[in-house]
Amino acid sequence: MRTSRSSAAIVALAILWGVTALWGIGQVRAKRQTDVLLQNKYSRAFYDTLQRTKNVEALLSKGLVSGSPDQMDAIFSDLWYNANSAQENLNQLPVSHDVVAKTSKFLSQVGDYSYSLSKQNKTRNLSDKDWQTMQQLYRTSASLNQEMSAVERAAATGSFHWTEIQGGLAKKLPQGSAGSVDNSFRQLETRLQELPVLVYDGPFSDHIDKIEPQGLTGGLVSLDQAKQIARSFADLGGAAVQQTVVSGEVRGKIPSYSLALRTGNGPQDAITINVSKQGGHVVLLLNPRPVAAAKLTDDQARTQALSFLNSRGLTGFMPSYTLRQQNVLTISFVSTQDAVAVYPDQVKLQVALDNGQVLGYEALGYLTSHHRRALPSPKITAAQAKAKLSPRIQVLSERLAVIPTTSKGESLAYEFKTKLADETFLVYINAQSGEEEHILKLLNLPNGTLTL
Amino acid sequence: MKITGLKERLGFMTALACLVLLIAGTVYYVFDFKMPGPFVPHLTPDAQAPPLAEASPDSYMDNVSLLARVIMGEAGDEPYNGKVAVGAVMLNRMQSSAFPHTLSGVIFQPNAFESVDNGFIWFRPPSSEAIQAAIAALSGWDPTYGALYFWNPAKPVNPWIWSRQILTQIGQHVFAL
Repeated sequence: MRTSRSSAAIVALAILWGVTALWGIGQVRAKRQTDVLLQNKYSRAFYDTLQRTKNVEALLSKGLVSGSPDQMDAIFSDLWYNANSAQENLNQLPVSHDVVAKTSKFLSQVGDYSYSLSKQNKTRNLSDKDWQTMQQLYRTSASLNQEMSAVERAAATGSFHWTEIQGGLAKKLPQGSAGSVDNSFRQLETRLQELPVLVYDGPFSDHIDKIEPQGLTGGLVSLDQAKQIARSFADLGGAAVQQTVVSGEVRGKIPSYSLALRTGNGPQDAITINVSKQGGHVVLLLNPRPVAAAKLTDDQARTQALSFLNSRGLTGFMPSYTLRQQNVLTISFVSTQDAVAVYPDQVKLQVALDNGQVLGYEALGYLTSHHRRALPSPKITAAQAKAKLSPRIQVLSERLAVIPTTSKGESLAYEFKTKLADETFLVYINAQSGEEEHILKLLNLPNGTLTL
Repeated sequence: MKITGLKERLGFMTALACLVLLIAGTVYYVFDFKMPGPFVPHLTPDAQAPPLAEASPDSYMDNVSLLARVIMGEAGDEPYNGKVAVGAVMLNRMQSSAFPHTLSGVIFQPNAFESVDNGFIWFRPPSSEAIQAAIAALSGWDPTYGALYFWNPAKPVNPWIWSRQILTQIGQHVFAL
């Protein structure tokens, strides 16, 4: 009796063990499958990067020897495409940011630089300076490829496995212990220590980081003055400031005091407001109050926003685009100078649609770029500019505007509001050269206007 | 006699427990084998937050919901301006040559954000404050004035990160260029 019971228990345990083992085997298989999928995904991204960077090197060298303008056009658009694709694939690899940041920057700049040359028709007749820059880029890309090949050898001979990083991930990767994938890439970054400084007309040009703010007029203000400015600037919506807390400061381009106006004890009763140390300008205001219902129309909210700006001494603005989300209307206001719209100088406001309280104010871009400009007189007339437009579109209105270029420069342009079928477009014709500088598509959504 | 009875009962109980476990295990194995297999994130609908689709019937809102999820995952317990700041970092990265140039590229870059790597962004629905923060960040609000990195100094981080130029601290997070 006892023996048969214990043998039954042993059999039961054995079966249980067997079931568990089978389940375990299933788990291991599933994990292996996921590993293989990941390994394939990462290998694909890596080999794509490798191929694209090789193409970049080859195209740069071809650009150095080509004498045909048509060929040059094709080479530069290929360069732009291959460099971008390389950058995109590189950033999908499971490596730490610090070991690929420079490579990523290099590839962004090669693509951006090629694009800006093509856009300005500079590829057809490459200047000596641009030719030398290309030679520099070529040399850098060659040494980049040497290192990439070293990584490839390491990957192909199995000295590291893309998916090993997943184990590290569980332990929270940035604990300082670099995996061997990181180590394989580290040489790459050391090689690119000396990247050429590239200044050109594009968003990733090296001069962009060095732009100094121009809108910070006035002398230094003390913390007490800043508190005073904050209290009189904020729209309290009927509440009273119980306490003004210094929550810290912001360094960087516009050194500011960061203050919190407490109107109650809840987490949402604190208005964040940043006041610049120089000039005491309000850089940013954020009020976390949720808005339950919309009672105001967009027009009413726009009027509220304008009177807010005027009462704070901010004049000469006209509303441009609006978007209604979560019962809050976001409005951007464009500054004007002598009836010319100055698009780089914008402030943005958020108005609560329940009571018209201003919940947000943003002037970082405005304070960076605003100054009194010496506007050139247009070299071409509005009628001449209009003649440059496509004959297929209908012009609704026109005006002069200062628009930002991709590299944070500015140009004076005629802004034409035009129509093609039911769709509205803003077309910008440079007032000096007559070139079509930019096209914006206006999307009229039920909750506002978006530009594309 | 008493002792033997207890022993016998114990043995019987053990065998019974094993049998129950065996049956349960078999049932689990046969019918539900696939359940603990590959991890599939399930989007949890949020009862509190107003549905985004209702507020805006356009497809241009994808960015808001995606950004709001990451803000919730990375800064769900931070104050409002800390949430906007985290959203602004993602958008600043798009403008930087060292990072991917699309929002999805930035968010899904491997090892970039903890809550994306461990899948938390798919489990924690964004609060309405997170959605509001995503809207503010996408509209241009940036309490950090251009930061590209943020981290919690109380947690272990890659020592390399401390070489960056620190711009400000909001709540638990340090923001740097």
